[in-house]
Amino acid sequence: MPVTIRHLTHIYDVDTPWEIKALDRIDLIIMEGGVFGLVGEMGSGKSTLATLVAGLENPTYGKITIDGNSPRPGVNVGILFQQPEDFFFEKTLFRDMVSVLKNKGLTQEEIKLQIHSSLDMVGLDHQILDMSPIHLNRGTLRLAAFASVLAMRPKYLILDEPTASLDPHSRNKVIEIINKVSKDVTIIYISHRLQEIAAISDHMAVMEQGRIAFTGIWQDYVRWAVEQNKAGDLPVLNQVMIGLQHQGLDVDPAVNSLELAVEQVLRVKVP
Amino acid sequence: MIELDNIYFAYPSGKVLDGIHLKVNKGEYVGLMGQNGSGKTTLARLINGLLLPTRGAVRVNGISTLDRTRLLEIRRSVGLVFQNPDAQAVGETVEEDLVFGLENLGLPISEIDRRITEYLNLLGILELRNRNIRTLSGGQKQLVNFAAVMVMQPDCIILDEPVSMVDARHRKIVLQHIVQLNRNGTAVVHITHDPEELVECQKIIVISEGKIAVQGTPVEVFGQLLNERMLEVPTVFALSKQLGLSPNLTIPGLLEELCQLPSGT
Amino acid sequence: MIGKYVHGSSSIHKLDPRTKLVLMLGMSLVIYGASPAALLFLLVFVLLLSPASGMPVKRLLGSLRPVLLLFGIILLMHVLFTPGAPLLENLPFATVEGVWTGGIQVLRFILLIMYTSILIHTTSPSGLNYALMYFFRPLGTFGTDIAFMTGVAMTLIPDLFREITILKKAQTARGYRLRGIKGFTALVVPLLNRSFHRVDKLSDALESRCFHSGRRNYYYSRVLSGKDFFAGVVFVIIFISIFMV
Repeated sequence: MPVTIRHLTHIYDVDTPWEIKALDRIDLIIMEGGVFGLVGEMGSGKSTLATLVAGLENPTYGKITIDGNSPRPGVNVGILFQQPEDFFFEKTLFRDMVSVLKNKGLTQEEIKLQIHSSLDMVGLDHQILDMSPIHLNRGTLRLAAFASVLAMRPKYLILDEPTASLDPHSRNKVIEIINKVSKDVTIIYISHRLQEIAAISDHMAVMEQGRIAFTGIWQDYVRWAVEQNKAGDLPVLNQVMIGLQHQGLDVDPAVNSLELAVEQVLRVKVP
Repeated sequence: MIELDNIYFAYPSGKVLDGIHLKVNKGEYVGLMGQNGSGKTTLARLINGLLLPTRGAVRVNGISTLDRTRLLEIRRSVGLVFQNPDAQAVGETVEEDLVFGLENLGLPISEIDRRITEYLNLLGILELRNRNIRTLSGGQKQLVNFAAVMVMQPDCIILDEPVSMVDARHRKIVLQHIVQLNRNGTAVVHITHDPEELVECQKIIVISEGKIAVQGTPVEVFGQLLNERMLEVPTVFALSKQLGLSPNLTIPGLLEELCQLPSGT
Repeated sequence: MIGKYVHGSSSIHKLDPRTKLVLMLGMSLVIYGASPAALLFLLVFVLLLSPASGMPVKRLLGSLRPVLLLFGIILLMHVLFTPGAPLLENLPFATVEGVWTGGIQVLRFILLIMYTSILIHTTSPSGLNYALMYFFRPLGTFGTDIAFMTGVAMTLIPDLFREITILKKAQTARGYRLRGIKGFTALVVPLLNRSFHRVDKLSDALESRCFHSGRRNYYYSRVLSGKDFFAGVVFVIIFISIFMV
């Protein structure tokens, strides 16, 4: 059952001089399964939408339902904020992750099992549980935070810029893990990096100034971006493909990997 | 004008820079590439004296950073723009932010005024002059940070991951301005983990585990990185190599070459 | 929170920040020493001043909400510990005098907060910084450095509040109930962590832009106007009336 967002409007600081409308009559349905990509610049409202869908705040107007119920953080929906490694504060990672599960009424054994299995999901050694967050590097901590929120076993998981500030190597690792995890959890992947959205999402939406500007699949997005004269914002690979299209060649502009791009070029040119 | 002479630096946590020899000449555009934790951010801070080398010396226009009495001189010659657009703002409005550095230089008010207008104009953000910095987008903030350093007219600007926290549209704009800045004579040291940002550099230095792993022109360096499967290389370069074409670095270059090729399958 | 600066063009906004700072200090003295009758006058005065400065009375009263608990405690203390005639039959410790002195004390606090709210509402942080710089200048390098530090700290306050909001949401999302010592730690530790990082980065940026001890703000300058003298005169009249009558 999907996440249904109906007529969602959210205004901060209502009736004050600092009033700001972050979301404007959003209608969106996010189906269960796979990865849903959410793209938008800063100020587009994507972080506000994430917070509301995660059940951390009540919308000013409109309704969000998850499987027909309201969103409950840690129960049916989880969220991983940006730079999540900053939020650890306990002496050991284990204590942080245990707190996360304590309120769920599980036994000690069950809690341990769940924590261990989520560490396995992200490919981390169980040893780190006994370490203090101070002694671990950012990449590892981020994966640990990921495991921490997975341990709550939410049906939907919102990831807000999970690869921010990571170098290409760590980034690829995170994306690999997300792909794996998305078989059990529906991921809502928020990013401004279109290459990642292209590589990983089954469906996507683009937000602009508090409104949904586009929903659909990546292939359609590329077409839409060209129509809207926004081809310059697309990843480099796609810009090359579109350039070839302008030369009159029949190539798929929506490739999302180097291999596919090479394939497309070799269909029409002899290097 | 900037010289890192056999630098050794160690953090208490154990991370180390070992035996770094680096030279940046006047007007040069140097790219510094490496993974997170390789030590590249440390280098930025070593160059303008925020950090001091444990062994070896850092010299800016001949002045060593160890000479604390001449630190201001060094910082007048070398400006530094940091990664996080939010963590650099002084003052409330854009204008106030730019005024800060110029007041530190002791320039007359008319000159301050003139420079602010000139550089805000250059970066295309003149209309933001009286805006509150906190209301700007990340990309705009970074442009303001850039302006605040440019306005002090240093001989060299170091950019520590200048666009890693900036949205796509402003990323392009900031990168264009960096290239333009260099064309106008300012030396640039561009530090990043993203090779796409460094295609216009004259020289690229790759840092790995505290040492210089590779250095040379972009084509040389990316070629080596690709062969040794070390770090990522720009998409256009990788695509060109895969297709057996010449080592292109820009989209127009690649398209041009593809255009010349015979069609067929 | 006592409130935020709101850009405006009321006559209070147009006053020089130095004037407002001095008058605020003066007003604090007046509030402290005024008789109960005078306090009522000051109350009426601030309620008239509020709309004149572009702040609706409702918001002015709203600025008291965070401190209502404090007021309650102060009142309670006075009611219980002031000697005098008992208030009620079965509460021998509670006195009528206590209610009176407690009420007056609370009224002084209320006035202090309301006047400060108007000050903050009408004076930009840069303006306040300018005023501080001006008054600290006689203290030499030390003075201007302190004033600069205060100015930077003021710009960091809204960031601090934003951090707290984000942290509350993030830790709630991770399943923490923000109550008790554990809840407090869950907020305070990351907050301090992030704050130190932020300040560290900011100081790097300041140093990189050639900050040096003793640097002065001189680009912006202000001139006192007729309005400022008028405000000063009004204050002197109030001062004299309250302490002579």
